[in-house]
Amino acid sequence: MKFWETLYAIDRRVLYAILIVLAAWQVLKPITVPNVVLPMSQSMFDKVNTLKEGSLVLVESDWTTSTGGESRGQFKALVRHLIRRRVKFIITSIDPLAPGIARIHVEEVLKEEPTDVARYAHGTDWAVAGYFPNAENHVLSMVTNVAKTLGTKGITDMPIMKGIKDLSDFEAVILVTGSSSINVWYERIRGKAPVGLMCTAVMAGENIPYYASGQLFGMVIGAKGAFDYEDLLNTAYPDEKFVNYQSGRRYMSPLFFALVLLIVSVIVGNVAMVVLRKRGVQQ
Amino acid sequence: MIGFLAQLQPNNVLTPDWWRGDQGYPTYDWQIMHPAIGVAIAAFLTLGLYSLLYKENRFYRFVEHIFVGLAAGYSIYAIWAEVLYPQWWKPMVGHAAQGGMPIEIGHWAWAALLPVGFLAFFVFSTTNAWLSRIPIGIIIGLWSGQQLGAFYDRYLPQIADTARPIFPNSWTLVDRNAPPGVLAAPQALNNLILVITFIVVLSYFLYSFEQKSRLVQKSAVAGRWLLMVGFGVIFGTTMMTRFVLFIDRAYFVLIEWLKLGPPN
Repeated sequence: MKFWETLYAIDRRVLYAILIVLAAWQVLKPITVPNVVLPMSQSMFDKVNTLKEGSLVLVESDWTTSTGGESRGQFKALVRHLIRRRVKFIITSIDPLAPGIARIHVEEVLKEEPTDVARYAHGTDWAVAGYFPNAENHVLSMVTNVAKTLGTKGITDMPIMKGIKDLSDFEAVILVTGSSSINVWYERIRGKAPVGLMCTAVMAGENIPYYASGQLFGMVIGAKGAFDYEDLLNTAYPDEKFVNYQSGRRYMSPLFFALVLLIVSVIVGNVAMVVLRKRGVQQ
Repeated sequence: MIGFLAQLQPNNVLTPDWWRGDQGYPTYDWQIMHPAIGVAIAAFLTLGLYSLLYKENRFYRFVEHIFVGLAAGYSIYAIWAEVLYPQWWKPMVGHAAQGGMPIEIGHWAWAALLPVGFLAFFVFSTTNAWLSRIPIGIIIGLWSGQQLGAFYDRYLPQIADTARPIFPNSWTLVDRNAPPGVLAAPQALNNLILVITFIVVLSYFLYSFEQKSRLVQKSAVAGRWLLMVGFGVIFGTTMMTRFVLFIDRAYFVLIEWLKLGPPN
């Protein structure tokens, strides 16, 4: 009886300690985890892969360090892909901290890419438009008058803005987000540009129906999605001069062990509960 | 200290202008200290936040207050520097002709927004709190006016998507390159599950009348179970997000700070 009672009421700090040990071990010595790319990740990659050289994409980067574990890998893989395809991109955000973080990570990617690929100038090939408060107003103004909206951010005179009159001048809008900012795009995009989503795992359940209904052309979900995208990049750009794998693959094995711990804990706790209930022990 | 020393690599030394940005465009200039010091402080604060896992403590509270204070302070700065100053203040005050730039007349009507906005602070007044409802009412009015279109664009494609074919016309496995009009058996089964789920979950929310029919009762029970499956998925994915957040911090402390292993 004592055994089952102990299992039923394991101190949460013991579980935290096991989690810390497992995560630390796998961060330092990660094992290779096999991967099967999800169709929705493949759709996102395929869309970006078909964009013509010189075309323009709007990247709405609404993530900060709080979701960096998932969003950083997604964002860097996307930027890597856009740069290799010579697709131009403008970054906007509804989070005051996000534009600075996006800029830092684009610069990181440019340093990691081979020198012949990384000739990407700010203002000509990419630009950070900055922070726009209030998601509703931001998206509405982007849909109704994108040139004027982006013009408030001092990037009007940059070459990348040449010829932009309407949101339909963008080949795609891709959100990298850890918040519900995507909802406003569903509501206000009015079919002006196809929308893709890179989101945290916790947002997956809510947003997969939008992928199924065709409102999203692709979805990259959590660290698994980042791993998918890195895998796809590695298949498309196998040359050793390219850096394809980063946090997406690196975080998979610690995540695998953490999820095993979670599943084992749930099973053990429930079995102990059933056993104690059958024996009439008050819980 | 070990982490700080680990950061001091030969290519990462202190120089007189290490804090300056070297980019050719405006930066946030947020990095006001040497990276090694910044990383050490960030690692120290990370450990402080996770000390909550052991128990509630003052160290955690201290770090939490720093985090909230920094985020709030930076947000106020960003709202002024990126929104209010370029979009409200500059057009309002205009500027004199200087440096080749023509004179720009100020649009002082924008000043009328300031007292309206300040009315929101009357929410702290016990006697005049009603004044705060004026700016809130304006915002809600603007928001409400857009909701019909928003609902249409967001949910109608969802409703239309629930009307799916459920009878297959091909007995092959799912082929992503199949021509339009071909419905493979596995996809038809998938569609059938979606349609049944949609109907039974919707029946669970029939609160307008008493559910006397046994069919409706059983459908509602099935709907409740399927909702539980959905909540289980949300719980699982929430755990994945939280785990990755922790793994990311572990990577930061062990690899980026203490340099105990190779980076990615």
